[in-house]
Amino acid sequence: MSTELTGNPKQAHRPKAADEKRTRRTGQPWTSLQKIAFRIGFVYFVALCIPAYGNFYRDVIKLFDFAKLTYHDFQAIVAFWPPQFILIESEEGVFGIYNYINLILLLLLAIVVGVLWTWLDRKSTQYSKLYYWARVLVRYRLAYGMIGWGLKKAFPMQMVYPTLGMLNTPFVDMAEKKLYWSHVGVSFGYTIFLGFAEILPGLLLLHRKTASLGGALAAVVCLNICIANHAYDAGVAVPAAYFTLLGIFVAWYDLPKIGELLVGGKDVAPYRYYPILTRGQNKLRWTLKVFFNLVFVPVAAAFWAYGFFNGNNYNIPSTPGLPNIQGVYQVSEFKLNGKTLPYSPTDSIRWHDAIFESWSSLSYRTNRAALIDRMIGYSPLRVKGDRGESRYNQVNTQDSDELFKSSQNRDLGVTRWEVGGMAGYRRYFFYELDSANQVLKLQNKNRNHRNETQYLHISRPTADRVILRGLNEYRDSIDVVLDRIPKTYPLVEGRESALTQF
Amino acid sequence: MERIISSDSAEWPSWKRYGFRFVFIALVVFILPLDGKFYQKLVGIPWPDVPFYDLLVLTKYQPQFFPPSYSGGQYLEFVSFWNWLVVAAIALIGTVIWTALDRRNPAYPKLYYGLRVLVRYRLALALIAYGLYKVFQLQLPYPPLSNLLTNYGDFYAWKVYYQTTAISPNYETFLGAIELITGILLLYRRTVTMGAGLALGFVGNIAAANFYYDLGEQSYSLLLVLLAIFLFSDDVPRLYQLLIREKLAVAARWRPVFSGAFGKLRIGIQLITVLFIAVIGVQAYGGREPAAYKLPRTPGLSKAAGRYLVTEFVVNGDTIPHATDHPFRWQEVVFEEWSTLSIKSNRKVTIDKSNGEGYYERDIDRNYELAGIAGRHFYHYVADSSRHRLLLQNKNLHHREEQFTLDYQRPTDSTLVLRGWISPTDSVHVTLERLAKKYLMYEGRRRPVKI
Repeated sequence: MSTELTGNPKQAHRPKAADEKRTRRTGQPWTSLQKIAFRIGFVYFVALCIPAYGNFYRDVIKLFDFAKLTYHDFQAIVAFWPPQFILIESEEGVFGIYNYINLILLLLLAIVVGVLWTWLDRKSTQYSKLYYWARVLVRYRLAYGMIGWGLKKAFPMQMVYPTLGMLNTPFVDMAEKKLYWSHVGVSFGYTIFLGFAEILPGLLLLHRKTASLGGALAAVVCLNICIANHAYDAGVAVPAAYFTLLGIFVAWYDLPKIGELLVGGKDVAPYRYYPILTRGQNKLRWTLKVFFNLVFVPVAAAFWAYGFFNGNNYNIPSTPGLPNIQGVYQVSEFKLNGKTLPYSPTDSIRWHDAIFESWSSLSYRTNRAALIDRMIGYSPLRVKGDRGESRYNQVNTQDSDELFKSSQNRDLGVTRWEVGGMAGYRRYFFYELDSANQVLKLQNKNRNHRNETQYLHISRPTADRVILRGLNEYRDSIDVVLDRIPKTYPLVEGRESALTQF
Repeated sequence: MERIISSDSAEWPSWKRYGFRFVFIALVVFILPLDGKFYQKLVGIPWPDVPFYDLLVLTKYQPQFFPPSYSGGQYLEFVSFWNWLVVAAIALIGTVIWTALDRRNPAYPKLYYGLRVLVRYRLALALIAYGLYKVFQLQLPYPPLSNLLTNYGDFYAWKVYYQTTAISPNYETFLGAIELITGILLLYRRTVTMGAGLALGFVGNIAAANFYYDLGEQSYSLLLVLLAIFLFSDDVPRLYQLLIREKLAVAARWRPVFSGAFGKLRIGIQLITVLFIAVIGVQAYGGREPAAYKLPRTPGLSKAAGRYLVTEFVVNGDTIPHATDHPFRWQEVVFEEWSTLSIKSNRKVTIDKSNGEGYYERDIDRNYELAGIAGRHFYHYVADSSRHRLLLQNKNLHHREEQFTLDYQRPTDSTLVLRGWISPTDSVHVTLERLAKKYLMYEGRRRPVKI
């Protein structure tokens, strides 16, 4: 797609730049191959950028409920999935390797439409105008998508620091996705760095001069995300591949010329086409551009910031725990229905240890397994609507946003980080204190065991001792004496710390 | 052979001349091994074994004016940045002298080209060596069972990073392949900018991770990033002209002519490079011993590998029941596939602060499995199967004096009974029962599994 630059500016329809050269194709025709490739590519990439499922439009309408807007609403819009003709659930989730079939089916459809178009349209010699507008659509879609993905790391929510419970969980008791997320969360700084690695290409895509660079960077970043998703079963491999394709399409505009210049060693002028717009059209263009850039960049960022700093981190509970109770406790004594049980690593009732977090959560370890929270994200549910239990899926457990909006306690919808993706030997309970009677009401945070509740009277005779007495989830009476252990962790201390004995 | 298409005899602006002199001297000092230690290492390579790791170390050359500082086995990487200051000082002084002697010279196209070749080959070798290190899964060996059973909080951040990447060996190979390709792109003149751009992204990410996770090699990875920036910078004005100013961009014109001695030298250098890459490649491939070389190679006690609960623990005749607060009762024992066993108890561990890097002949010195983690003690053992005896020694350099002998019996396939003196005052009788368990990391999170 090469062209000569003809330097005659027609109308200066950009208010400011008097010396910018407006270029116009002066009729050098495209080859047949270029034309048919374009027709197929145009249909393919435009279809990829138009949301093809009803729930997306429901989410757009939700945006107008201004009083209850949160960052989730913005994310649902910019992170929409490519068209899903067939939803195949597999060992890799919904967006595993089988899901590429959808990208392939769309390509076949594009080929059919492209061939039909070729048959119907004998006259066109070139499609510079359509190419321009298709690229605008793709690069804005990709930009807002990348920025949205980046914001959940720039304000670390997607990956957060391991909880006390996780620090005391064996590595092998965690699913691969969980391990991958956790290892990023271990470093707050690195999480933010990765966030900017996604935001920067997004910003570059918003300006026409840096769009190709942004597209190339986005393609590289998203390719890495795609491969990592396959390697760790992280669940969004195909959406990452989708973004990679969009990035390549945006960069493709300039790649041949760059190749000629750098690899081929020839002098080149860029391929450029800008449409001529009337004053009115130009005003409309500016208004739309400014509006959408505002909404999906600074406004979205503001919502993420607000959520992050105001206790709506979608991975961290926000109800504070009892004062100064945070820590790891040894179970000094445990009575079940009056009978003292000694500690044994194979015991499935007697607690092996107990951990209070800084938020209102108590967890303890036994040898009893559980149906785990599989840390499955929103993705399939957003496409086809809530599907309830199915073989590879699970009920939506992350409804903190809905709870937040209806002013209920959000913590029971914020379990994915604290509970999800880990073996059930450690059980996590949300607690609320009835201060009149000093009774903790405990509720199992694992949705698969949501009916398990305990009522335990709590007394704290000293700063480091907690005594819990009451009915456990099996309606047996238990009597537990917990003594806090001063525990230090290499992960928290760091290699440079003077503390070397653990 | 190349011809001169047009010689770039145009005069460089003075800032470019000063800047070039400084950068030239700095990069030459960084790259050309003028440090005696390099030649010691080169000469010290055992022949004909030529272990991969010794070749890797050659490609990691950086000038060391200050000795590395050790503190209990920890290599404090930040000392290396003082070396950079020395290099900058040398470059500054050198620039002053050079400017004084060579004021009239309008430009340095030949020296610039030569410098670019030097940097390209340096960066390429660095990336190819590390690429091979990962492609054959030597850098990040699959975690030993003891490491997998360790609590998340008992790892240093670098070990978490290593271990998380290592559980997906294919991903490690993929990363290594990218590094290899990037290195190879740098060896061809036409693809240098592409290679430099990829290197910038790849090594930039590594450098960031090195800083954030205290992975080590902070100064080395940052040096590689600077080399990539230097190489990429040549084409930045062209790309700016093409994409941002949207005007005709002029391709690089200057081509060297290689005649006579230079031509022979060039071919010689290329041959040596290819030979080095071939050798290091073969050695990396061969490095995949049964237990990749960071892990011990002597096989462990036959059919004993696995995780064991300590069902009975008798000290000097007293049976100690299960307890989480006993100062030294064994809680769990893991036999690895190789000659290591680990014992989890409440005894404190003085953590091994090294990275477990390095090639060690003896199994007891191969400390990768205990580097950067706490929670259990690791013992190298020698099994005497005729006398049913294990000679154990603590692998941790801080606990090396701990040695003892245990007599073992194997009444069933899944039981081991051990007897011996673990200290001058404590004789023990221990019964181990193998624990067969499913682990979530292997089961995966897709099936509704109870675990």
